[in-house]
Amino acid sequence: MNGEDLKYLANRSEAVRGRADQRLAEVHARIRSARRRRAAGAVAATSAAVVAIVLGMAVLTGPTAPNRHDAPPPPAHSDAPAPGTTRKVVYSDDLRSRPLKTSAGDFVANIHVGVLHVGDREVEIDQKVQMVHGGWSIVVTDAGAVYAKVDHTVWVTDGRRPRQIAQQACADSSGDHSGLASGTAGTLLAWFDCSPATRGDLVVYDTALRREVARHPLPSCRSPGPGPNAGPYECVPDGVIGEHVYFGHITRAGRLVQHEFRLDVTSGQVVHAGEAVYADDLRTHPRALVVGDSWRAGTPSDSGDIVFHAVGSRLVPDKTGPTRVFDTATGQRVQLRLPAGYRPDPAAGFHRPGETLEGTDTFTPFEWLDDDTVVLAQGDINWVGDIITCHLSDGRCDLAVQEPSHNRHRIAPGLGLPG
Amino acid sequence: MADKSDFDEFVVTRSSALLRTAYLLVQDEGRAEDLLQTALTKAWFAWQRIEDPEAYVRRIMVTTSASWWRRRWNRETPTDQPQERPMTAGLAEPANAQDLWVAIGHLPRGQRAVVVLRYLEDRTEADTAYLLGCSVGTVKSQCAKALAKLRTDDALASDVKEGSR
Repeated sequence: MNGEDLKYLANRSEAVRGRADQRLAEVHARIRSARRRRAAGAVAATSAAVVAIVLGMAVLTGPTAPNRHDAPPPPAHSDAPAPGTTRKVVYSDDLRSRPLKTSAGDFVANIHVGVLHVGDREVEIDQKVQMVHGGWSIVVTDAGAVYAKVDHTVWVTDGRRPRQIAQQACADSSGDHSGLASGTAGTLLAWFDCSPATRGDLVVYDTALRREVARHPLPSCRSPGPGPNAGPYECVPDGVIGEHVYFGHITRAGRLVQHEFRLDVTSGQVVHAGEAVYADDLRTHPRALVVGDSWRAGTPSDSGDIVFHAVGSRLVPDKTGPTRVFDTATGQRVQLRLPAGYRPDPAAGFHRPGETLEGTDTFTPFEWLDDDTVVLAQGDINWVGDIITCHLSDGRCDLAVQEPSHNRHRIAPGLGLPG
Repeated sequence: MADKSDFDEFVVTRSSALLRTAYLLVQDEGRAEDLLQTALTKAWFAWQRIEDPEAYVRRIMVTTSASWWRRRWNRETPTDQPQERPMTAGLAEPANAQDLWVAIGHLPRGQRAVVVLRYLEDRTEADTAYLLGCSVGTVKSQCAKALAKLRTDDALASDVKEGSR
């Protein structure tokens, strides 16, 4: 080690720019998010004191039946590796496909995804999607969008030229399950390794660090998938919450048993999980919504399980079920409003002349930009129209991306493909 | 005492310099940006009681980078692939610089912080001690340990052998 080496290393850092143009906005987004969490914590602490007094009085005055719904939610916590990073809206309007003519009719098949939008950037991803009845095999992390190709390679792009990050993952775009999992926050990504020597290893990759951060061999996951549409794998990662990676397995009938096990990335331990454990994990992290009578008793979801319907200027959950929605970051009720003057286009979506599509007044969450901002897509199971962003704290929604022309398909992560 | 209205100006004018320190601490541009934003966010909440904002943010970066490592990145696995890094325009890389960069990355976070502040940022022992929240004596001992580790690090050992031929 000499002076010349040290001078060089010190100067090397001069070339680092980071995200200088976005930094101030991103710091303020983090501040807002932290303030909301602190506020929730203060409410919880104050309420806990009140509850303690009430319980103390109950001991003195006789038993009462506490109303569990009145208890305030604990503050949600986030141990994501990159807290506060603002994600970009990811979607594509560039689908090239040929109708597949069968005796049962024409179907869209062999979709080729060309240009991917990552925020205001466009990148050619050249992804072929062989099956159309699954979701689009793409997930989003804080460091960019990640997708698998049919040759089992995995790629990541933040809007710049895609980088390959895996050679032979049990992930592709030909099955019902993409084989990739990421969380609504953070930079972790999970897949199962399909290399001959390490098949069945659950791999956790950090898209910001650009390297594996965990690898857990699971002998029971080494077998090929059982069903024709299952893909070449037995186990499927199906959720990332903070440092927890969830995975399930595909049954002989081709059904995915979700969230069956959980790998804790920090400890390296794998434990049985299940839907209840997964739901509790969701409930105690930001970037999920709870539908039901209360934050505590409702059903949490971080994806497209919740569909909002436009009722006047309001967005309300499924008309036939509970109509109250809560934010897991704050425990507060969410009341979303469509953008001022906005009316969903009743003729939105790809359709042939004379054809009418269902779902022009429904909106489905598919991505979280930060703890307060969720992205929703207008549309039904097979099509995506306008994309709007909604702020949970004040309910305000803005039109982010206008629907494409009626002769073009649009797709978004986690939502169904056309066909 | 800093005025909260000055915060934005501070971020705009000083964050490039702070990012360089963050980069030297974590050796990854994405992590450096995250570390800087985390530190700035923490600083915002203490802004009105901070006497020296820049020193405060640097100190948070040092302590936060250490806590990140303790909490999460102690499961790092060695890799044969050197990390991508920005190139320094117009500056030829000395033969040992890359090895030294790798060797610094092998240091425990506390010792790495001492090396970064003392040798790469050319700060005094007193200044380094203030930023690390420790005594000058601790800085001296950590420095000595870090230099001893660097001398025996595998990344630099080959150069020593080659140089000794």
